[in-house]
Amino acid sequence: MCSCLAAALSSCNTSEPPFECTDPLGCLEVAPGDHIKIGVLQSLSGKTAPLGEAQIRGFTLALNKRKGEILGHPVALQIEDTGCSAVGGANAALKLIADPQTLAIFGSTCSGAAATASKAMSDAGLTMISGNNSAPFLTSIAGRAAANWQAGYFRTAGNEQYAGNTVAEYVFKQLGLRRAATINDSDIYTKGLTESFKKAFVELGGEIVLDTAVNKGETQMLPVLTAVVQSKADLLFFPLFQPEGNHLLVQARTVPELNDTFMIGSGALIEQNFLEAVGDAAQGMCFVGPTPPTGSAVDRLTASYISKYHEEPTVSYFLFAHDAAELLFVAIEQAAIPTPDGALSIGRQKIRDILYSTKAFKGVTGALSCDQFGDCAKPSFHILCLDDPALGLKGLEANIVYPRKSP
Amino acid sequence: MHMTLISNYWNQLGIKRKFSFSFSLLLSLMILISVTASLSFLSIRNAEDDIRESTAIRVQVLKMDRDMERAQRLLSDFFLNHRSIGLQQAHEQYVQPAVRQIAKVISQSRSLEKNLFHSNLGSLSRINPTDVNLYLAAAKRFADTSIEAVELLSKRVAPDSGIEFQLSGIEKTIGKELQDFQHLENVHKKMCSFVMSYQIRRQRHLMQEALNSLDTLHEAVEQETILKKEQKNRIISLIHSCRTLCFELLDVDLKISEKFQDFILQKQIVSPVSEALIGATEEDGQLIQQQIDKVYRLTGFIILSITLIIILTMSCIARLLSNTVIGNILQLKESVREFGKGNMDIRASENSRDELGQLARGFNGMASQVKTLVENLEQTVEQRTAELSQSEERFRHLVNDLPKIGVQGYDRERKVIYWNKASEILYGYSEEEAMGKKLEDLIIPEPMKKNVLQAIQNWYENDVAIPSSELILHHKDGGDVPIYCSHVMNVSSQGEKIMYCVDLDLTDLKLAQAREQKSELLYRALFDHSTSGVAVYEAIDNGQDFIIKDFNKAGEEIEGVRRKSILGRKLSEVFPGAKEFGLLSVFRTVWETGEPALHPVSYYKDDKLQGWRENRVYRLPTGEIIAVYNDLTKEKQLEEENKSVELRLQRARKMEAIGLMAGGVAHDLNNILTGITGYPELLLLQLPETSKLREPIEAIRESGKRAAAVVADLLTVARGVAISKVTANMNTLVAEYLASPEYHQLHSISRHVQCHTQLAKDLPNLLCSPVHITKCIMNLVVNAMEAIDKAGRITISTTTVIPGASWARENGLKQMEYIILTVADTGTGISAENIDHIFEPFYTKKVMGRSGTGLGLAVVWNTMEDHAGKIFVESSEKGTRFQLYFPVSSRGGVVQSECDTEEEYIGHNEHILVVDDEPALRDVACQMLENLGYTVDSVSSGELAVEFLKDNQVDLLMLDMLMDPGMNGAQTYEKILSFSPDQKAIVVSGFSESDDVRATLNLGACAFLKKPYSMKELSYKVQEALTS
Repeated sequence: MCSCLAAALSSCNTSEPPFECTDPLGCLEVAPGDHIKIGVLQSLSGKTAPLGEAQIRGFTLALNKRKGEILGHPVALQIEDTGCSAVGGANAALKLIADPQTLAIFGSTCSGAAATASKAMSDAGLTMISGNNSAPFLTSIAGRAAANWQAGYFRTAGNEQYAGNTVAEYVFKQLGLRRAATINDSDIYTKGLTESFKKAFVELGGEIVLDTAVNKGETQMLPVLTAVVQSKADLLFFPLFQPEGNHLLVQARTVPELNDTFMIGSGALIEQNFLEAVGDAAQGMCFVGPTPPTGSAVDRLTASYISKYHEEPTVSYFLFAHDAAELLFVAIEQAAIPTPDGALSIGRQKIRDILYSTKAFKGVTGALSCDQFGDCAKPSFHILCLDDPALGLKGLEANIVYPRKSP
Repeated sequence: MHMTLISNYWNQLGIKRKFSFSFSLLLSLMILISVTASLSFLSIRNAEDDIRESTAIRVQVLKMDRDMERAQRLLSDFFLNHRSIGLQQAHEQYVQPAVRQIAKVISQSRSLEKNLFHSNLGSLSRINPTDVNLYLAAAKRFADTSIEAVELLSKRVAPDSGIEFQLSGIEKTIGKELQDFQHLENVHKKMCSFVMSYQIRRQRHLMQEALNSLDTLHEAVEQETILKKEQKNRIISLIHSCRTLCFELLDVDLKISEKFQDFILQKQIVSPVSEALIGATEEDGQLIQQQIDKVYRLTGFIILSITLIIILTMSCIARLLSNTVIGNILQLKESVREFGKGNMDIRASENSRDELGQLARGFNGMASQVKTLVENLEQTVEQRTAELSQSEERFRHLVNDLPKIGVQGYDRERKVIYWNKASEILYGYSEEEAMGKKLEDLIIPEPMKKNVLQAIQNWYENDVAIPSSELILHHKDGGDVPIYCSHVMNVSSQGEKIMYCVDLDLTDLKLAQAREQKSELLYRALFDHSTSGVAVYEAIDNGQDFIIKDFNKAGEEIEGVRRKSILGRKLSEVFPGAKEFGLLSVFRTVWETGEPALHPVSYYKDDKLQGWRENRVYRLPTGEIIAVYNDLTKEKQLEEENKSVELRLQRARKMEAIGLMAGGVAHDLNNILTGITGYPELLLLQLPETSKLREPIEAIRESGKRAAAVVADLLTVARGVAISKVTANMNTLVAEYLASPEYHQLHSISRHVQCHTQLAKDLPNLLCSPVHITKCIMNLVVNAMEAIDKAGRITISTTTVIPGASWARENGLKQMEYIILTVADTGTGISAENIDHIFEPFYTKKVMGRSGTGLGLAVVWNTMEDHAGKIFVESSEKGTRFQLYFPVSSRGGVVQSECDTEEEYIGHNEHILVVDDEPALRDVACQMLENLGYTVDSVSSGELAVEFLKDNQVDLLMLDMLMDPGMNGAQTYEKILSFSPDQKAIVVSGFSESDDVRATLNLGACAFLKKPYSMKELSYKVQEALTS
């Protein structure tokens, strides 16, 4: 009888309490042998495709260092094309958040796409990190949360609000120009840059004589260039992407009244294919861009890049992509908790918390510390000018005119 | 009949079996109830699990359906409202929540899939698995379709880049181009209105109308002649773009429509599956609930039945046990009670065969035996009382007459109630005196009283016994009585407690102990204060080794060990050299024979200890070995030192004798030799090169030089002769000797011997007498050459060393840097009997004259003494090695180069006065100086020299040191300086540099020239003096 009772009672017992996730945003369970899924949002079509490709390559180099695994689980990538547009970013993000197994997102290339994608992913409780976005609107402007800031959004590229400042200081202090015209394409990246430039230039004592925009896909730039001529601007700041930037520059060279107007673009055009596309039209043009990282770690990663892809990197942003991937991998590793059944439980909020608490992380681009708005890189910008188109991208990158290096 | 058989059988069973049977029956019934209950419990539990499972599946399906519905509604809202609120806003407001909802549904579908996969519910198996899979994949498919639909819509309406935006832009551009051509503009407007109608109603024929209008416009433009070609081309290009966009718009709309169709189709497929799943789970729930009810009814019936059976069975068993067991027990109890009251004739009933029957029979037998025993008891008691009385008497006598063991008895008030004879002797009180007195008034000393009374009271009241112990009590005469006291508490026949004290007299024992202690102290004092080391050993391993049992202070001081650290350790551990020392065998002999032995003064040495020891070894009656020993190291050292001093004294006397002899003859000999070497040199100057006389004259000169060398060696050996030291380098001296004619001459004789050098780099300089060092090298090399009969090898090496402290101390060196000059040969070696004498003058085993003077190694020895160095010799059949240790005074000295005396210095008529008492020597000096180009005068004494110089001036004075009679050289020079203070002089003497010579040099004499001298030497010294 006792044995029967014991048997009956023993059947009431449970062996071990199941693992309980307490993360406010929920946990992702990764069963033994399952993949850890990371979504990739990059611009993979159109003129900005090389930038997106460089991002994926930087990410891949970081992943290869871990032999394609995080904590023994193979990493599966779902790569989606944003087309470098806000709508594209939003729709691509939908595809990632539709899968509940998506843990985090690496992207995007263009800040416009990031603005919509980050909203979608943030609401879905995901974390997103970019090695290319630099628009101030995505994180913070003047120490305050920007309009498009979203919790869970991080980036290792520098906040370009300082790029506008750099341009303003250069043209006002170095070149002595006082009348400025700006053209953006309503994308938050280009708009953010012109806004920060305007603010800094006016504060220095300059005058904004024209502040206008072109549409994405616009090919006819003569009307807007005519407006520039009529404004009698000393300089034109047009931080556009390709192909709009190409059209504007090439057509500006056909307008004699703009011969003496100083032309300056942004890092979005610091690309070999841009220089090849516009040829001699780019001679004398300047660009504001992030100071390329240097050092032995950069050299080693560049060598790995060349070894793997059998070509020189066309942009230095793959370095920032690598660091973004590294930060994300480390955060996932630290957030993961092994459960009694051998699976991993990864808290979605925990990943964000770890990234926000990043301090002096040793990346190839330098020490990374993330602030409360998701900016992890210390911004540093300089002005490059193309004196000899024949020297290509390397010649451009070597010709830093502001701030000048100490002798 | 059967009942009677059963009753008999029951009566024959034992109580144990009766109870076992009864309780087994009860237990079986209870187990039956438990099993039934457990089975029904498990069955119900499984059924409940199934209900839970089916409910969970149903809830999941319902939740999925609900969430899916919600997502679909959100998506519909997006399509409805995107125009009014804008695409991006609609995206954020409807699409993103919809997709998040779908993601949740996908997550739920995975969970549902897991549940369905593990489910054992029967009704679910009736649903087609393909349908289930379709249902589970529906959420993902819906998500994909939704996103595709959203993308298509974005492509259509996206601001800045959507087809409609582009189309509108082109329409406006075409409108601008055609604004001056009314008929064309009308066609264009018609086209635009159709496009707009299409965008509102999405009916394809409207778009077709628009396309038709576009074709009409195209044709009209083509035919229009007013338009410029460029403008025409531009408008046609725009019309093409417009057409393309129209088709794209149609295509996108078609795809969107397909997506909506797809939604409807998905819903049609999924809804029946969803309903089937819900229905199946509900059906399962009902079935299981019915099963549970059935189990409840069946279980209730079984338990109730068994309970009734148990109650019935228990009643029967209780009655049976009452009749057959409890009745018998009560009867037996009654018999026992009667027997207890004294009724010896009562007996119990024996009517059953079980244990109670046996108990009754046993009780009856026991009652009979008790009755018999009671009857015999009185007789037995009387007999035992008599025996006890006899035994007590015997014991009383025994205790009373016990010698040396006092026994006293005390009552509760500690009054004496028993006092044996030994107590009378022990304490001096007779039995009459003691009886009735209190213990503390008789024998307890005052300081003990309080404790004794307390202990006794404690024993009486609390039964805490007083332990046995040694005590010193009082004698009647006031003296101390040492005893060992034990206590016993007895209870008398009246029930009173009586304490007995049994005191063993310890007086004799204490006296013996005192004597032993005194002896021990004496022994310890002797042991501790002995100036000799005393050690006590105990043999172990059958005398193979000994353990140190004791070690006195003197021993500690002698051996430098701590007594505590060596006690209990083996002799072989503490003194590992004892075996080689011979002491271990002496110990064994003494231990075995018991005969004392003397181990004479011997040298003990191990890694830590060394010294001279003399041991006297005894064996104690206990078998332990005692070694009494003394440290005679100082005495032995003194003895060795005395021997050494004696040896040195003898050598010094020998040297002194030689010195005296040398000193005595050196001057005369050198004077003589000056003539013997000087005249041949003068003669050879005058003889032609072809003269036959040159050879004999040169032989005379060489003989003179050899004789001079002998004299020089003699002077070196004689010691006490000052030598001048200059800074030189040993390597240079070796090299110079090996390059000298003397060495080449020697080597030409001994071609079979090869000479090698191993000279240290960066060898420090040495403050030394280069002449004597060179002589040492030469003598050692000569000896080495002569020691090698056949082909052999001589190695001359130099090196530096700083010897270790102990080695330096042992060999009389300081711990400082030394230069070692080593001359090693592969010759026949020096025999052990000769090696101690090789440094004695004229001690040689070789043929005298072959090597010269017989003073070679004596010169080496004396040179080393003069240089505060040491010489070490090692020799074997394979060769001999001499090592000369020269102390390095400082490394910074500068080598003073010798002047090259190969060339003679020629004078320029400088005026020189030669002062010498020997006419021949004066003559030789004058002739040599004249031959060297000087103007020479000579006088035979110091006094004449003073006179001469009062009247004349000379450039240089050549002054002999010893002149007899009259003033010697020093006095003469001092006198001359008194009136001619700048007078230059060189001092000439047959001695080496003596005190007089140094005094003269200190007065200002420019140089010293030793007789005999050659013309070259003379020319050099004169030149040196003249140019100083």
